[in-house]
Amino acid sequence: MKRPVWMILLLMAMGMTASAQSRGSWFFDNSLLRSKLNPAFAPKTDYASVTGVGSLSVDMAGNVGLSNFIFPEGEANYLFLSDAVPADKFLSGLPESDPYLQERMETDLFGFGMKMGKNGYATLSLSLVENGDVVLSNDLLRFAKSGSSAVQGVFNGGSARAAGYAALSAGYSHDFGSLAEGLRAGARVKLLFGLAAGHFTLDRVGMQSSPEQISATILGSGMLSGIGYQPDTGFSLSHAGFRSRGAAIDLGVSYRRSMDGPWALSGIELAASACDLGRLRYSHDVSTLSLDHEFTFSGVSDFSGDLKAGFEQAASDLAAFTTIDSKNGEPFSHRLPVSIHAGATAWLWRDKANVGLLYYHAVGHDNMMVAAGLSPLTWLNLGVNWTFLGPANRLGFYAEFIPKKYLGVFMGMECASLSHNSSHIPIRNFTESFAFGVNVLFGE
Amino acid sequence: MKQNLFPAVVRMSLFMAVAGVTEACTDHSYDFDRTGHDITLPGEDIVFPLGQAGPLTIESVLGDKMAEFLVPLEDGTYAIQYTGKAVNFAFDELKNIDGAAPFKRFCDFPVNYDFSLFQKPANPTFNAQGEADLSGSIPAQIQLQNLSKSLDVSVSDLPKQLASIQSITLGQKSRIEITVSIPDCLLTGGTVTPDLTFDMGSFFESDDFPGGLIKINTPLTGKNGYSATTTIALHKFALDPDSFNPADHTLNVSASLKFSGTCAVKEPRTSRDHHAKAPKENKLHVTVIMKDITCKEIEGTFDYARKSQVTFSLGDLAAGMTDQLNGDIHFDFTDPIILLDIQSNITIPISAQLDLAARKNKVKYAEIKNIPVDFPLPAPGTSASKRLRIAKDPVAGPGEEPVAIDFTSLLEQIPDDMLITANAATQSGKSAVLRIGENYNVSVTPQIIIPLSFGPKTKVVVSSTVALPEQLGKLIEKNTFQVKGVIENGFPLQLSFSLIMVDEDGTALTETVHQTLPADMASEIELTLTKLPDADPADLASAILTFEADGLPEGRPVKTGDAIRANLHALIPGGYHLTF
Repeated sequence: MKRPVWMILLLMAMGMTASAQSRGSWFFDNSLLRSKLNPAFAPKTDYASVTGVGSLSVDMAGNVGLSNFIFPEGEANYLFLSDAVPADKFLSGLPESDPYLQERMETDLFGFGMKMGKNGYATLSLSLVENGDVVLSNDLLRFAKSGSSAVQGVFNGGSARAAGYAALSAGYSHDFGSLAEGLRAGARVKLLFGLAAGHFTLDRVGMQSSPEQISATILGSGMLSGIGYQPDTGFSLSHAGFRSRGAAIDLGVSYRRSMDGPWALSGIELAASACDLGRLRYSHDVSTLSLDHEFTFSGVSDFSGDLKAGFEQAASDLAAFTTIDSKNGEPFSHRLPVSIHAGATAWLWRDKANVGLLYYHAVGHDNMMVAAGLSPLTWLNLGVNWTFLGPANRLGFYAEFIPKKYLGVFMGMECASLSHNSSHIPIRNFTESFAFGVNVLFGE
Repeated sequence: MKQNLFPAVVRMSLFMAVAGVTEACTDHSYDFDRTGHDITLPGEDIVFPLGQAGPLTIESVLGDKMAEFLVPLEDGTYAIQYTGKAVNFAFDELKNIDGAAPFKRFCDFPVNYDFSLFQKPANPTFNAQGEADLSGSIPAQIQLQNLSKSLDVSVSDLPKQLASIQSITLGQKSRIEITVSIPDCLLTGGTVTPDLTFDMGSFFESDDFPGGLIKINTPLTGKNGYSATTTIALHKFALDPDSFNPADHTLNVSASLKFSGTCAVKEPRTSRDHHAKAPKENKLHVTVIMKDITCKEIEGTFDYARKSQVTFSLGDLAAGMTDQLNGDIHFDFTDPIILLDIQSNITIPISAQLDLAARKNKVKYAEIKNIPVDFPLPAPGTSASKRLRIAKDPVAGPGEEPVAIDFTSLLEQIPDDMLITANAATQSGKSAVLRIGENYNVSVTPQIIIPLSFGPKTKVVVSSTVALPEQLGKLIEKNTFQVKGVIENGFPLQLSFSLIMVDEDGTALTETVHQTLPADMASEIELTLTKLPDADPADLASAILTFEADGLPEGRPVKTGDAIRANLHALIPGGYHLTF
């Protein structure tokens, strides 16, 4: 019993200190996690997830990091808008496209997996999912840093989306060895229960200052469901509830062929999946947001008048400028971010090692991963991987303690930035993935 | 033992490695507690409008009290214009003319005429009811004799202002009543219809009977008691000019009143008793009587003169004079203008000689005499007005009557008051209509216009203190604050513009910044406000803008375009610094 405990601690420590690639599980055929990536994959043993920690995964993708906005200088550091940061230094680090941060988080409240008959494997789970993205206007950041009164700034202001829902999933994987040896196909059907969602897009933000007039315009719109908005108190989840409906499906296929050489090759596997094909229709407590204001200030009309009142009126107008108008709205759809995986794995030395290549599309971006793994013991998977393309290159690790019975633990992580600040915010790039799970195993 | 030791060593090594890697990957240089809280938006600069100042005009220099008197003239210059309260010349003597009184003697004085009609039949035949048909005894048609009467009236005590009389228009109720009757008429039945012509002559005029011939033909019957009255409205007495004697104010009128006509008698009847009481001869009796003769207007010529004297005070103008005005701006007394607005409802042509006298402490120090004025002549019942422009070389505007007089001496100083004496007299020989009882009045509203020009000692300091928002204090605390813009200096003098920001007590928080503004042109300004070392910008309360001028071409008229206009904006180089 002591060994598993130590292994858990070790794996957790590895996850915190370096990166383990959650998708590294793709290349281990006894992995529990990889069935999440492809419903055709079937674990070797029955399991029941531990509530709350059965399967926790976080995917984040961004094209910026702390180093884009904070600049150390001696013992201090400065925000990019500080005078201490030259404009060139900030602007040269900005990506060409608009800075974005996308994320997806999922955790199982419960989950089961068990063999069904000779060729089948079924899963059932209830999970909470949250996904969202934020896009900032590159031009707006540039204007904030280096704009001048000579420039009229008109920008796309960016957008923000977030959605939370519960997914009740039922999956089944079947061995079609009767058709072709090593062929499996699977599907997972998800009933979705929307908790809350919000979409907001700033279509246009403009401002110009001149000796004659300082003016600004803002135009945006959005939708909320399950989220309340009051101008004075802001946004709140006071109306949240699993009262919106949706559905999605995951589809997958895999083909494995055992081999005896050349070299140490003991088998190959080709697999592909498409997950989260579906959408939610948020229909409860829906409201429409609009932001359509203009602000102009031409100075006070006469210095001999009440100048103070004139400026205070301008300040009041400016405060009203950002007021979001809210009214009852129509139901709206939220399309789930589709993830696609397609990979090839080669097993070596009687399946004790593997090398693989995985293409995947997740949180809106294409990625390519190369991986190598070792399974020195039947209950231990260790892997390392490198992801390129995508938002950022990143290094990943995967580790899984998976005895035939009792307790199984997996942890994977990939991150683009090996360094972070003391608040654990990545410095170089926000792109990270993390997966962790503890499951009770019922093997023989 | 070795087997037990190995896992412990491995575990320890792994934890040390983990701890080491963790620490190695944490870069504290990005920690948020090291992050500075100052930012600048946007990076290069920010500019925003402050607003407009002015126009700071000559009114600002003169002050509110004097500015009330400032008016622009058509030639684009400014002048002080003082409008006095209207002064009235009441012509009570004309109001009190009671032309009606002498003529009231005509009223209720009956003039009687009797015409023979028929004789009473001696023994008419009465029927069983005691009634007799007189058709055979009384002629059906009776020719009346022509009668004429002279009306000689001498009216004395007529108004002494009358020089001649052409006519007298009578009041609305003035009338003649003509009563035709048969006194103690024999008849108890039947109709007597007179057909009378009454010739009033040329003295009486009635619009109802042009030519003065009045027809009377009201039937006389038992129902009206054989008596009927006809009323004729009288409108005018037309007078022979020679009938009025201006020496003793008497009027001698001789009028001739004539009657002629016929009477038709139809179905005459009488009763026994009536026949017994009736006189032997029945006559047609005509009574002419004038009633409620009142006089509304007298047309004629008038002989009237009156001397009136009024004063109007220039106290407000004198009080508004300030030492600054005396030094900076002075009155151009070389070409003052007096406007007299005269309004009159007097229908008699009147000429006047006006004397204008300027007084200081009730002592007359200058006087201009005999300014000829013809009062405007309105139609009866209306009023008319005219404006006199009195100046050395007046250029009369529309509706103005120029009067060229040099009265510079009157305005060598601002008088306390001015005395206007009007010697008014009627214009002899011009016929006019006098409305009886009218409140004849002439009002004169004087205006004094004195052009302004810059004086020899002009030094103008215009200062304006403006309250500033509290946020501006923070702005200055962290930023160099530039005030830029354009100031249009419309004055013909070089100005020095200065700006300083102060706290509530007036203590300076910034250095005073100056810029010179050339005369008569627009200048771009650029003033950089820097906080004084020991000043706390949080105390910022207001800014003081000062325009100061010294040295000016003497005698240059003050023009309407003389003004300072400032259009200012703020520039914060490097953007707006703020701390979050």
